[in-house]
Amino acid sequence: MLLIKRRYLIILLIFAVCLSSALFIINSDGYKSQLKQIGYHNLQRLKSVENDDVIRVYRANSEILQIVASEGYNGDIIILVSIKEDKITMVDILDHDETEDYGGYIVEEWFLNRLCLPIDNELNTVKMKKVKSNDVVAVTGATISSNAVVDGVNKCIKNYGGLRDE
Amino acid sequence: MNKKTMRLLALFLILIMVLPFAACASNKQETSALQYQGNLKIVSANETIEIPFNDIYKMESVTRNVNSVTSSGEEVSNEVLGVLLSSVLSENGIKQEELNSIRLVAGDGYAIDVPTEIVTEKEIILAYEFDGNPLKEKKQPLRAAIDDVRSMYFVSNLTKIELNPIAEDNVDESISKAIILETEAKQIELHEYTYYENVDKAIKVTELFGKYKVKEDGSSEFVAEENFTKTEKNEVLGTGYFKITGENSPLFISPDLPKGMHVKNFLTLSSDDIVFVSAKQMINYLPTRQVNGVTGAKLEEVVDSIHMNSDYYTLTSLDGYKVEVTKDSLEHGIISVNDEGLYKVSFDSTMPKSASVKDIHTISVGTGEKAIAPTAESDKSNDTKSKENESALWTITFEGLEDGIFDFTSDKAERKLELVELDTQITKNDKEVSDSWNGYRVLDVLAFLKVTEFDSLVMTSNDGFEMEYTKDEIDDTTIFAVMKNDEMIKEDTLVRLVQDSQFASKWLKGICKVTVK
Repeated sequence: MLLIKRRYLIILLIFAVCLSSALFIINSDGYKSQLKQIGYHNLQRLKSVENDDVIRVYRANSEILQIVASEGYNGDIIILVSIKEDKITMVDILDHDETEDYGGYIVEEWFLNRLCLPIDNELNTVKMKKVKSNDVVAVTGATISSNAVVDGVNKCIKNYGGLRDE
Repeated sequence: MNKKTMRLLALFLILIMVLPFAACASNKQETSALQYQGNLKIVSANETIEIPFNDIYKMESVTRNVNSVTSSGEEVSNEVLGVLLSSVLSENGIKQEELNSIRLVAGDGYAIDVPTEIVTEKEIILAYEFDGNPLKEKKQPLRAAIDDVRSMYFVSNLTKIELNPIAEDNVDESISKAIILETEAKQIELHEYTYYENVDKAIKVTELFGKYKVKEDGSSEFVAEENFTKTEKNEVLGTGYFKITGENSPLFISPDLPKGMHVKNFLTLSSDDIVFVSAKQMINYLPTRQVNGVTGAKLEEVVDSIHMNSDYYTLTSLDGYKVEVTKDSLEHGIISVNDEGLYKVSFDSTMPKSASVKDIHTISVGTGEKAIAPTAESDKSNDTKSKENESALWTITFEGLEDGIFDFTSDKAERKLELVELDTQITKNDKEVSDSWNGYRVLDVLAFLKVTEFDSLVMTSNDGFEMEYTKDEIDDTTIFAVMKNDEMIKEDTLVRLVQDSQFASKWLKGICKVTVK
């Protein structure tokens, strides 16, 4: 009888460990470690300005780093946007599932560099040629994916406005 | 905790563990169900038939193994399950084998014409399963599948089929005029087009078609490498551009069309009796020969590839210089390109030098009135001339002299005149270019020919191009250059007029005649 009870207790213990591990993984900040891998340290999370779209906001010295989820052609694209002194200084794609020959090009440096613009106005996707200073030329043949990235960056610009007012 | 509670707890734990799997299984069942709201539109000249996709799924299905070749040349094999288009059509009183061509249209705007030979000879399957799996959401409700064709015909998200949308007669086999796109690009307005990381130059199709009066409601046929052919409606082409610089050029591209409808590296685009030709692609893909040490596409192959059948051809340069040649002469000619991107038609020694055309812009069907042929006469005159000037590298014929015509040769220049050096620095494509030249002062040559007074000199190059220089433009720094940077100038462009000027716009190459006025 005692043996059976002990068996149940062991099962319960294993369950408790699994559950707490799962909860820890869910609540742990995987993005923070990802940012550290990129080279960002001394990250201060600003939970109060996070929302459904902008899922993480950090202050890293004088930079504001925002991680935003934006819906692409094949699901969410996770974008890291760094803003410093009213200018987008860096955009990186942390995760995506876009088609290699089409939207897959959004990870290319030449496309991401196009997004590094002042944040006076929201960015605008164009298809062929940059005319206005806030225009971002989409990746050829991948307008949906490009739009998703630009939308994501725009959400960060908007959110940065709120953060600045605080 | 009693035994019963323990058991309940264990059961609860098992249930928690099993539930997610059960949820996954139920999701899978949902996606595999063949249900799709909406209708397949079949559009003919007279009517539009709408067939619910769910009805198509219920029709008698077929399973076929189909092979296709992707745009990157990869061969793909699939087992597809679907309904034959012929069955769908026959239920509506239409026979597939009696159709000319069809146009498959996807929900995202992608569209492609399936040519008559495929429509009449092959099974077209409206597939809803590939390799045992239902189509992914974005490819639903149907995907076309045809055995042994290019994958561009495997239209996903197929929502509309247009029957016989193009009168095949529109693609005229008898071409009367060919426009060289690369040369045309020097004349027509170019637009900037961002293509991936580069900003390239492009011709707006409507502007090109407007200039050459290509019918807006017609259709055109692309021919690209590896015998790729594709027919497209002119109204669709009108939404786009022909990118003529950079990667994959010439490339038909449109900001409003799916990438799959772009046509890269095309050789020709023909519409009615006109064809737009990429000389660059002709040189890359057609058989070549060497003429005067220069390699280029065989002229007869060029004319053959554009289906221009005539006994005479008129070659026209961008500046309007025209030469008519016979069909036989094509076998002695080439289209080549030089380092500056200038396309030229040139012939071997069986044809006079005047038959060569620099900046070749058009090739059209000739009348035969002034056609130059590679006759024995022409050979003989060349032979006579070459004997006369056996040791001469070059000859400039001076006309308008008091005592008539004089052939000024390299031998005479070497013996009688001083070879001078001239260093130049010009602006070319916004860059400073420095060169060192050796040659003979034009004024020294005129003095040698006892020309004391003149108003202007008209110089003619070996492709017939003429340029006039006023007396003021000819000074001590104007030379007939024969060497550039210590190397002899290529035979083809010898002798070259060079001046100490900022731009090289009046530096005429291949001078063979000077008329003193």
